[in-house]
Amino acid sequence: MTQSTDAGKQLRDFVKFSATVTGFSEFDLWGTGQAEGYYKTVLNQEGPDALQKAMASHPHTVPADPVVNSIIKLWYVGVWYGPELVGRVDVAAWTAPGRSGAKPAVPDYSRPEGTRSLAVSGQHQAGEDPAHGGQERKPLFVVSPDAYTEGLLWRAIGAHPSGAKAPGYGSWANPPVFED
Amino acid sequence: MSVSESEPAPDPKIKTIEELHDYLYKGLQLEHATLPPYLTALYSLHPGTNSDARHVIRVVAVEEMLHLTLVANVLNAVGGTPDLTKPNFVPNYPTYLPCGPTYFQVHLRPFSREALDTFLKIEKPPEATTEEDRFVPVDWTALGLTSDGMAPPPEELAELKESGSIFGLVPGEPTKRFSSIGEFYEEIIRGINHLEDQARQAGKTIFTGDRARQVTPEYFYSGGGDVIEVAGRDTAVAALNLVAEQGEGLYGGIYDSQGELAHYYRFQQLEKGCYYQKGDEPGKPSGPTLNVDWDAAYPVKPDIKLTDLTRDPEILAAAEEFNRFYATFLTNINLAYNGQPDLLLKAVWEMFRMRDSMNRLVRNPLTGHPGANAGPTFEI
Repeated sequence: MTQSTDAGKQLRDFVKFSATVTGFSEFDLWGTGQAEGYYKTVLNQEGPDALQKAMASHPHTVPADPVVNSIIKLWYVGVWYGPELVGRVDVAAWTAPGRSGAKPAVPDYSRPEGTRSLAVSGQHQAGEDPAHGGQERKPLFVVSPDAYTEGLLWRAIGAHPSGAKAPGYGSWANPPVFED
Repeated sequence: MSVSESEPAPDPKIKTIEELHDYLYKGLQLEHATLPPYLTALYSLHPGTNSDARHVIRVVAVEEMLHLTLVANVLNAVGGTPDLTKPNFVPNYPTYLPCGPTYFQVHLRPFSREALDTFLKIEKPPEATTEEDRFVPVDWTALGLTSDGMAPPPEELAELKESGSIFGLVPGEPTKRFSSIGEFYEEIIRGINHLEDQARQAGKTIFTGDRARQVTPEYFYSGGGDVIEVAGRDTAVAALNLVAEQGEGLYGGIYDSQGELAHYYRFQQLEKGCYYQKGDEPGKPSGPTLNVDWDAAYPVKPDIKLTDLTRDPEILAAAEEFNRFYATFLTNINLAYNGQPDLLLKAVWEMFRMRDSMNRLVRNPLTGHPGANAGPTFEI
């Protein structure tokens, strides 16, 4: 990590909190390689105060802080759903073969006006490129190409992302491998 | 590689079938020993970056797996028994190899200029022009093991070998080393020729192995060249020549006999920032530009050990699990080399799982080691 100690601590706190709310270990979350990108995404989209408030909320509060829901969904599918969209269940549309991370495989008229094109161009929001960072809220975008393949959902269901992380020819004849 | 079977071999060092088996076991050990360093560098690359470096290292690593299989085929063909499960088969990194231009240590390191420098040394083509140059005394002083340049006493040598840190001692002549990996295989080819000539004079052959123990192409796919089924002298020499050529090139050129760029020159492309193309001279690639981002790699702690992970119980558990998985994997590969070649197909699935495990490890920052990440320790 190249951040200052303070930024490093904030990132570690974010991962620690994320482990509590996703049910995956801190090791697994770091292991996605997405920790920094996700942290910056939340920071850019919702701002430090909202993030701090979300992380201060009790993890078992029902209903959870909407930002907490956005963070959970982010780790599982690699897509940032702003709090106003986090209840949507259109993951299948984002992960259909051939369309991964590019655009929905099926027309989605339920989406708020204007967000469809934003969703396609949202990659810079992860904060990798400061020139694009943080100024504009975008309620829906895939954080990065790798975010899709690193989604926790694949490990949660003992599968692999279609088109990536190939498990080897013929391995599909085996039952899914679930890890502890 | 310049000596073919038609030339008389000058004074072969391999004079018995047992010595041939020992050399070939050392070959298995050597081919495998390159994999942990190559894989550590490969998986340290940040996802989505360094596609040129990723491709180069991956191709070389996959070809090393082919080499391991080719050497196993030769060992089986001459009636030997591959054993990848012996103690110290996997070296204790950093380690020394039995060959090389100068004595150097092989570390487990993230992708870096230092790592690339070591890879170039591993794959360096032979420079030996005379018999004396190809087999030279170990420089014990350079190794830091003696101050007067004399070899340590035999007991101490045995201990060093046991420790895995100098795993590459030449069988039967532990105080010498070959000037390159190519020369090491050259010696094995000389030994095969010598022993086979002797056997034929007595109406026999050294190729007494069960053909069912050979790994044939249907069990080995997309592995950087075709696996060669070894049934006699010609195929044994072809298999060993392929191993040497793929590393170092053929007759001083940059390509092997199948027209593939040799490992040394593949790695050199990263150093020079330029691809080789047909017709290029060694050291002067003139193809398309190649981009390397030296900073886009996770800072895996060099030569990481489980003892570095005591403050990170989750990482420690994952690293231990990786080592267990790797040991099981080697056991399975070993069964494949001992009469069950179909197990190699299943082993490919295990390789993908190990890839994912390694990726997770290298992305985890360590506690108490600022700026350093975890990685696979390969302590088997």
